[in-house]
Amino acid sequence: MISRIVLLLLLPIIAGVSLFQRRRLAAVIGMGLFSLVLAATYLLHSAPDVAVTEAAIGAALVTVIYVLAIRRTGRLLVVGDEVPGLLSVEGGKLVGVEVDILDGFARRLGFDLSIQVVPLKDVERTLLQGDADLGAGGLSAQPGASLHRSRAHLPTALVRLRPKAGLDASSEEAPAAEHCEYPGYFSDLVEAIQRNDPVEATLDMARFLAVSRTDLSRWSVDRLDVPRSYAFVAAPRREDLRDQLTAYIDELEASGALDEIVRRYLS
Amino acid sequence: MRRPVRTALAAILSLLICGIVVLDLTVLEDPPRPDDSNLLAVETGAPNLVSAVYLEARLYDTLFELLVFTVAVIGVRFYLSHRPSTARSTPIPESHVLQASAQILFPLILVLGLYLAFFGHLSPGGGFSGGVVAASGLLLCVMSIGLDTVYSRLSGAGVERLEWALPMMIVAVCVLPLAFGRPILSNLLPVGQAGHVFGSPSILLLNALIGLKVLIGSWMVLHAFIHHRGEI
Repeated sequence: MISRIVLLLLLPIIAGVSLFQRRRLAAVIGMGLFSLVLAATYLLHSAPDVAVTEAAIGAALVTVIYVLAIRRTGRLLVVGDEVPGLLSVEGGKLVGVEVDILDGFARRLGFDLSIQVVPLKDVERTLLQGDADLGAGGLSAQPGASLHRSRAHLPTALVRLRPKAGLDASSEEAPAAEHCEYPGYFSDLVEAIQRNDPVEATLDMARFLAVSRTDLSRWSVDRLDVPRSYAFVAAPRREDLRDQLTAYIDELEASGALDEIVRRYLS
Repeated sequence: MRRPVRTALAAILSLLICGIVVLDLTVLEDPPRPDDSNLLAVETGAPNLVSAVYLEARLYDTLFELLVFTVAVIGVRFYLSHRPSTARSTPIPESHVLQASAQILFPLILVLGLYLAFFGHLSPGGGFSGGVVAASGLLLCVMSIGLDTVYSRLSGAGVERLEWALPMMIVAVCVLPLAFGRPILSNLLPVGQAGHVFGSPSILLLNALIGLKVLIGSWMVLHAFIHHRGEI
């Protein structure tokens, strides 16, 4: 008798809790839980036939179908390399200007934000394969033809970093900037510089600031006269997402929230 | 509240509720069982009055329930078939626990589904729930060995034709009495002793057909969702 009352009281509570979940997956799991408790309730009210059906359909099958349905629509999948200040892992949490923007954007759309850290060279490939919706992580170069660049959220500049030993007249001419952005994980580059490996790379401001915390006396640093700015890149056929994101950044800038976010991470 | 504290509280609460339910279930009085003097049970040979009602007395309603289910399956296939296939092989599951448990659990789940379908007139269950339980067993297989493997082993096309043939067969079973000069939806097969497996052959036949129909229908819905909406 007690359990009937407990379960009956639990039903509206579970229903309410799952209704007010922000994450869709949590709401779906709440629904599955609701079905399970409902099945137990049926069983206690001597309706085992209905209980079996409710458990099999409500708790198992429908939950799975909902999970499959929201798998693509309920999630904003972002790939990008770590860049201190913009997008970086600190204490097990992703923080940075771009993380804040994306978090607010996903919240606006009602999506779950999922950010995956990949090397810079894999960002475009992942987007082209359709394995992610947005690219992030200090992207300042013009993306490939079928990708869509959003509105820029932060201006930047390019800095060329070369080992000093190789600096003679013949190599004075700087190669095209696009070809020497560091393609791997940015953290690998930082480690290489700390080890004094003779690497060379063209870096944007955020990456350069992170690198400049180490001793750069053995490198020559040239500022390139190329105007650049950071933006997000949307996957092919996701112009809609690009336009929404551009509108969202516009809004952030108009309300002054963008400046505040930038000041918080890049003061 | 801190996260570990919240998790611990949730766990304790769940255990408490589970405990109460299990305790209550152990002292649960048996649901009123129909005795042989029950008219419907004797007439249909099915001690489980629920299936006696929905497969004998109200078979007409059940036919339309099946129609609803069939239309739902057609709808899912129709609207998802326009979407591009996710077209990548299902990744090998990282969890060996899942793979190993699927090997053990799949036959058990299948047997449970068959039991629910074939003993629906004796104990709680029936074709609908039996079919869904068996389909969830297939789902477990998909998680462990991949969609394409399961699909090819089921030899897709034949299964799909069977899906369309089964509603026809069920309707045929219901219309067949006309050929013998009896009213539509009436029971042609002889009723045996109530409580025996073959005590109610017509309910057994209908439960088997419905169970197969629901199994294939649920499988097709799952296949369409996994195929067009993303890997499992």
